[in-house]
Amino acid sequence: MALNQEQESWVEQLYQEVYSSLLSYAQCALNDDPLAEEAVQDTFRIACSKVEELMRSANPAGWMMNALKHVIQNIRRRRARLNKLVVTALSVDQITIPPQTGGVELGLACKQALGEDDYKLLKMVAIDHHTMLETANEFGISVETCRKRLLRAKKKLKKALEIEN
Amino acid sequence: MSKPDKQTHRDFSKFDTMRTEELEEILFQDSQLPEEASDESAILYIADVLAKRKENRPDVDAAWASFREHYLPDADGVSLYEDEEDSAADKPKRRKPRAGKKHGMFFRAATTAAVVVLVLFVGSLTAYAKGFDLWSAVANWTKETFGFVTTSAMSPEMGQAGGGEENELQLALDRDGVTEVTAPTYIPEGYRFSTFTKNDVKGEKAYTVVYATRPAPAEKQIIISFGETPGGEFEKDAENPEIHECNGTQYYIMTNMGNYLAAWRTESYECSISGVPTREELIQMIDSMEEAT
Repeated sequence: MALNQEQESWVEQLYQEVYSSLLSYAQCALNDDPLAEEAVQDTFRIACSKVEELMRSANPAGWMMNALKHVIQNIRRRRARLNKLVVTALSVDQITIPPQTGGVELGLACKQALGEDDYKLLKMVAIDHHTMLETANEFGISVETCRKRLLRAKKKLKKALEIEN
Repeated sequence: MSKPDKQTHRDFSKFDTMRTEELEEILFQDSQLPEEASDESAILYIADVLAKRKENRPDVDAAWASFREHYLPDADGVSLYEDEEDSAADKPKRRKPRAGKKHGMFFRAATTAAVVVLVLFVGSLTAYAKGFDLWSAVANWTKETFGFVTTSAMSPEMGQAGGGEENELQLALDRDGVTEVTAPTYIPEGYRFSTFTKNDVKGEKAYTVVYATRPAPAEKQIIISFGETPGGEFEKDAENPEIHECNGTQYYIMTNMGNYLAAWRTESYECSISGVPTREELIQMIDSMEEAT
């Protein structure tokens, strides 16, 4: 979504006004600073695609706060689903996690199902809890591409688990 | 720093003198409320207060530069964290915020979202919407979410596994002379006592006991909580809760990510049992409490 100059200036001003407050809220909600930063960025990303609606709003700050809450809820849902998928994958492969090491590895079957790259990508997001930006930078891709590859990796893993069952 | 809300001339100065931990708790709890149940003007004010208190202020210019480089180019209106399941399920409508209008709070059963926060106890939440008397109670909440350790201004009493299989929760209730609530005597097979926490903040007590499976990898937990502070919130799946009545007490039974949880209220306590694998085991736990009363 390309913003014209007027729109971009307007968004930047709003950004300067509310970024700190939104970040503060996201930090309280998520208890994860990098993820909180990304939640705010994602919120502005959504806002830019609806910039005309936002500019007409009587309360842009309130609009942004509500959008941020939806992003936070999405993040929580995504994490819960990924966690559930990983737990299922672990039970299929009967891998025992050593206690107190903090390290988790998906099974060999999962690596084979996903391929090396997608396995690494899924592990970074689902297990190691990296943000989309951190994961995208690791792979040298855009955050949007990272999002799509993560969705694809999830689908592949779910399909592999269905076959296993 | 008294700063009336510009649009409605409401005075939020009370928040200026509240402790940071209290304000953070308010925002955390608000993040689990549906949009129409949130007071966005108050929340924005609190978020601003917290932002100004931080020692390390964020570099907004750097954040904007990062946004323009990494996030803006592909902005298509879809959240980076939105799944297909989110698209398929009914999502709460994203309405334009109405300046200055506060929505009333109400007890509701979620029916549309894949995971919806269930807000209990209308009386306390009505107070939340209308005034600030609840803020001190909100600030005193223990964090009753699955798997989180409760915190309080005082050092919590804690017990851990390894000290035997005594019913730690009932022992604590007996020590404090609490007869209004009773610990379950039935715990599903495979679960052993893990931790016990008691908090007492400004005279309001909260008891939490965790039972966990052994061994790992995927340790499962059952969490039992009794607390005197009102306003608990629970995540649940989309289906309506079932009301199970036993000896005059209404137990609201629902699921969350496949596990069963029950929430109910006595005269002074908000209670919950969560993380139970089956409905039958949950009912057995409830019945064991009623039999022990």
